[in-house]
Amino acid sequence: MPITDRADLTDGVPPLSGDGGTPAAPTRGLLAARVPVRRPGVWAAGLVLAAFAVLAVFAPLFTPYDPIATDTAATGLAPGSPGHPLGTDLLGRDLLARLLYGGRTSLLVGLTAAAITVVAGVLLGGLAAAGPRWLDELIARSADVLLSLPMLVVVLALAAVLGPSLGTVVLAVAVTSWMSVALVARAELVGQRERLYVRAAHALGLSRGQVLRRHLLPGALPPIASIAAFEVGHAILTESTLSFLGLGIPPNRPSWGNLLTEAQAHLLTGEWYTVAFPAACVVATILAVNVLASAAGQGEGRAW
Amino acid sequence: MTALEIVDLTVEVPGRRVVDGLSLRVGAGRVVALVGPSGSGKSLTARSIVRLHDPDAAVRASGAIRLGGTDLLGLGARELRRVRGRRVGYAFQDAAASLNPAVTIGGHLTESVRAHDAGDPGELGAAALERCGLDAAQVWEARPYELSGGQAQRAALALATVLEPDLLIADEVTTALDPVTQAEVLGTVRAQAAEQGRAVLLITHDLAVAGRWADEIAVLSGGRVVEQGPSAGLLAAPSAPFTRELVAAARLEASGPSAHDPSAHGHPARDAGPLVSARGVRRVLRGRGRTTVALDGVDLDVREGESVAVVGRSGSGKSTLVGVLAALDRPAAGRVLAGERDVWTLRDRERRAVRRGTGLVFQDALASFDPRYTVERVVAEALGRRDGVGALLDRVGLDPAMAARRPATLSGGERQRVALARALAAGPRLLLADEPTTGLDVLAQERILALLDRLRRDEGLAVVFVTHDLRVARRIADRVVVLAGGRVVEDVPARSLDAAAHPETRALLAATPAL
Repeated sequence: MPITDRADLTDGVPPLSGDGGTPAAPTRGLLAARVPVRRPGVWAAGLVLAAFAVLAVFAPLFTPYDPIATDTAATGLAPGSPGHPLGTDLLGRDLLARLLYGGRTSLLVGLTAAAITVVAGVLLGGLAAAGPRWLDELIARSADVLLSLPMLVVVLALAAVLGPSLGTVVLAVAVTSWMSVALVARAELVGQRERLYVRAAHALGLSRGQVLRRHLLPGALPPIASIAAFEVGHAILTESTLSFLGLGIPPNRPSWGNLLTEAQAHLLTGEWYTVAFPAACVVATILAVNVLASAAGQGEGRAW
Repeated sequence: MTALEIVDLTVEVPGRRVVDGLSLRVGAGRVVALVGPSGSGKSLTARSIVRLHDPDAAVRASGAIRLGGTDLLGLGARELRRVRGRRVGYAFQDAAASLNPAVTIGGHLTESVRAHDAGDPGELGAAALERCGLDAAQVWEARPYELSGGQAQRAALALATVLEPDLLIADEVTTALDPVTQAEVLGTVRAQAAEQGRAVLLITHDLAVAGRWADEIAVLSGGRVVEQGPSAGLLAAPSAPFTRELVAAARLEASGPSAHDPSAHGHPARDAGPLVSARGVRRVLRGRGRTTVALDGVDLDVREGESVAVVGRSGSGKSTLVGVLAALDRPAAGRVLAGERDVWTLRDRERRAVRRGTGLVFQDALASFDPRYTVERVVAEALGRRDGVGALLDRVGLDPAMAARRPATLSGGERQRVALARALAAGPRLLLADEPTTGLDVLAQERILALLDRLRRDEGLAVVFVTHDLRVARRIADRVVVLAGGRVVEDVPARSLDAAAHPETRALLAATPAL
């Protein structure tokens, strides 16, 4: 009997598609957290992030300058100067070029570190919630210990051992921030486990893995998504802290954090733009990620 | 003397007129029951009296609601606050949820008394608790979750009547209670009304409850009172067609061939071994600081095609028994046999196959659906595929076009049908139904019971039906099992229930109101 995918999706029963509205697209499991596409704010946030990503990746197309090259003939120019739309710094480096190339570093660190943090946190939180008691204790206590240590001390120790590099920064961020994700994921999973619909799912004969994938994780995602958004900002800022201490990105390599660090000397001398542009980029990125993350948690059918 | 008079009340929520020209009169010292199916505007009418609407819902009420000469609809927020609690007491359906779990019962009472500067909270509160049949010394320091369902409902009633209001609104206060507790609670309400000349507006969907405890019944349909009169007369000779329909549904008479009679549906599987058996099952629930023996040596056999009602008071172990029979909860001692095999010695995979062969339906259907799922996904998950969802929905009497909707947008009866469709998806031989009609109005209940009858007749499905309502048990079951304190105290054919001798069965029978 020829069964096409199409017939499968529309169920072959006429009344299903005949009620005027088409049935919701068949998304399963983790994809159940749908982003409500009709909200303009969500679109704007997505566009901002996409624009930043394009600008960073194709930076050479948008500026003719080398972000590291100094030009002694054009130091300390204000924004709007001919050839340097955002001006130059005191060494004559073009600020637009540094901002664009800096975006490469910052977005890479921010998104990778946040992704690793969230994946590791959910994994550990899931193990703690579903695994044997000793594992739960081990993970929860490790998280408590790490949370009680000053974050900077842990990061400094790591950076001292591994040496300053991009990878060090990513690792340092992940090591110092998986705990909140893991604890929230564990609490959400444990809380959901007691819900009646989880019991109903077990009564259908589903395995523990199926119940976890279909019912527990999708329910735990919205709070995790908002933490993830926070982690992106946190990672970008941690990178700048480490760079400032000389343990992160080498100082000549531009990143939004490095730009801010260099700019703090200028803040009181009236050269506001050296601070304003990188800061605006950091703020816009964090805002956009936040909007996207909170949108992922909404539009859910909540029964209570 | 008229305590409450509602004249031509109209209540609109955005896009819909729910109450449409309702007029009602409640005399002092009288209990008037407002009866009607879900969605007929009962609760909205009651809430309109003291304007307890969801602030976001933009509810508009017009007409007149007079409480001893004051038009409540004309009062400002500050004046209305003086009426709430002092002149009108309100008791909600879910007592435990209407009380703040972090505040003791004494704290709740004190708060109410202080808000109206009415006197000594300790003295008034203790008196109110005693009136409602609670030991004030014992419950004053207790928090709501430490009380049983019946105690919590009494505490909520004490809270509603602590300032001896002229009017008590009792909104489905006993729907979730077992018949014995229900009789005690409503007996108290009625006695207080008579002694203190208090008017009581008793909101219920249960005509038998209204007939037994109310002086007058007002039948509500489509936002209007279609009939009002003294209880006995109205039930004996209903004049409005809608009332007749309601009374017929409430009598729980099976239409068509009786499903009780095993010969009516020819399933010769009687002599085959039981589908599922419990042997000496004991289950212990460990909570914080206290241990409850929920099941204490239960033996039960359910055979192919058989319908067994499990009845008992709250806390008698009914729901725990369902969890054990469904192979979800492991007994502390004893065995659960599916076919001839002990389900807890099986491997995990085989035990899951046993669970697939058993359909399970819960009292709170909505909470048993993943809130992210549409009806289609709920059913498709149990079915393992998407095609055939429409056919299943059709089988339980739902429009297949409902597949795209979310369960939260359906009515209570429709949700329970979706739950049934899910339970039937894997083609089980046994259906375990845990109070599936509690909280449904009589019409929706009758439709669910008729559906179960049909499924049993057509497919030879065995049903274990947990209920605290003996009338429902009689209607649905071949056999009635009475649980008390985690033990089976009675196991008799449904038709000889009246002759049952155990005191627990007698108590349940005596407390169940009849039409």
